[in-house]
Amino acid sequence: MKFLSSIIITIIVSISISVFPQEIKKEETGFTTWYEIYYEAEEYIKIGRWQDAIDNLHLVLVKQQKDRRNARTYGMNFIKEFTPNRNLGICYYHISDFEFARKYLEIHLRQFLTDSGKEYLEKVNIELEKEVKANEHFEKGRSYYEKREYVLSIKEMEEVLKIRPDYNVAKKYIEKAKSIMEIKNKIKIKK
Amino acid sequence: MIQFLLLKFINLISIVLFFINFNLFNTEFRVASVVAQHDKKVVSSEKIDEYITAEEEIKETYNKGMELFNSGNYKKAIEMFEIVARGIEEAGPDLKKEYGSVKDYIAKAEEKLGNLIANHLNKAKQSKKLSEIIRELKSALNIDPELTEAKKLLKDTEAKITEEVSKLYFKGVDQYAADKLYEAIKIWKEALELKPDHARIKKDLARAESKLQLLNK
Repeated sequence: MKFLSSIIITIIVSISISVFPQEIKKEETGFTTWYEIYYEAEEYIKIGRWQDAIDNLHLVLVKQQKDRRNARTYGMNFIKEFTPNRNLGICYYHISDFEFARKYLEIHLRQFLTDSGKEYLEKVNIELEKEVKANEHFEKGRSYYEKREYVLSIKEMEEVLKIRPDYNVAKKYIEKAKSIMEIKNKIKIKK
Repeated sequence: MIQFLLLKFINLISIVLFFINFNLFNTEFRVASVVAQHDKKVVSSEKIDEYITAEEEIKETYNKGMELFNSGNYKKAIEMFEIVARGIEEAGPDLKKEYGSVKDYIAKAEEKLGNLIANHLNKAKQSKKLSEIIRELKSALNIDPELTEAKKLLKDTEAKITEEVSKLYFKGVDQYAADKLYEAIKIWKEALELKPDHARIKKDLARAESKLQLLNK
């Protein structure tokens, strides 16, 4: 009987240790765990703090690389949909870093197919196509500028800005072309 | 006879009337041409004004360019000089003579910028410190945002930094867990040098520092 009870006690103790290992570590160190960093990242995403979410998710990826369903955190606790790669893709999409966004969304979709992952990858691909178009317009605009066709150059650069309003080089070309046109027009009247 | 005389008289009158009419028309014509000439003079004086304004604008842009060139802001100086160069090409020989040196200044400024960019890129390539590499690459891209080589290097370095920061973070966590607060703080500070805005590390560093303060009291 004594033997049996000691076995039961040993089993209970070992189970409780295996079930709550991270909690014990947290209590000992007062430190955050990977899943807490993950939860924090999700909170950052909710309020649009994309860069902070990215930083956290990269930390999570050091410990847990795979997107999956029911990722165990501690004891019998699970994260229903654990998707650090998808979330990284979403964050990079929001800060307009579409190449990185595509990279992580593709990793996500290889590991764990979700509708939102697919939806975001489509969005990213559209943005990347737009970027190609913006670059095409920019090259045309620059070529017109070199040929001194300023009106056409401005038109092309404005197309660039319609697609990518943050394209500062295009803005500079418009400014330069407008200044030259102003001088040119005044001189033209004299001729 | 009387009829003949009457016809002659009518003819004479019509001839006189014709001359009178012609004269009147001619006067009108002359008046019109004088008015037109006057208008022309007004218009051309306006044109001259515009031309002067254009010339002034070129001069002003050129001076701005020179000011920027002398203060070492070659990038902006080139922008100004390019406007002047294109402007004088439209203006003709007079302004070309006066501001012809602008092309030399563009060449000089481009050379200086090229040297600066090469300097930053060399430093970035030679350095082993990731934060220094980023700083040099950003300086090069600040001069020319279209530098493909620098852009690619920057992306690669940023990825390396992310990797390094994560490593340092968990290294710091291990030290912290082992109650080696000094070491943890040192490691996290190193991580923050690479990524100064890392919220998680900032938070943990603050926690470690306050814990250390409490222990030292």
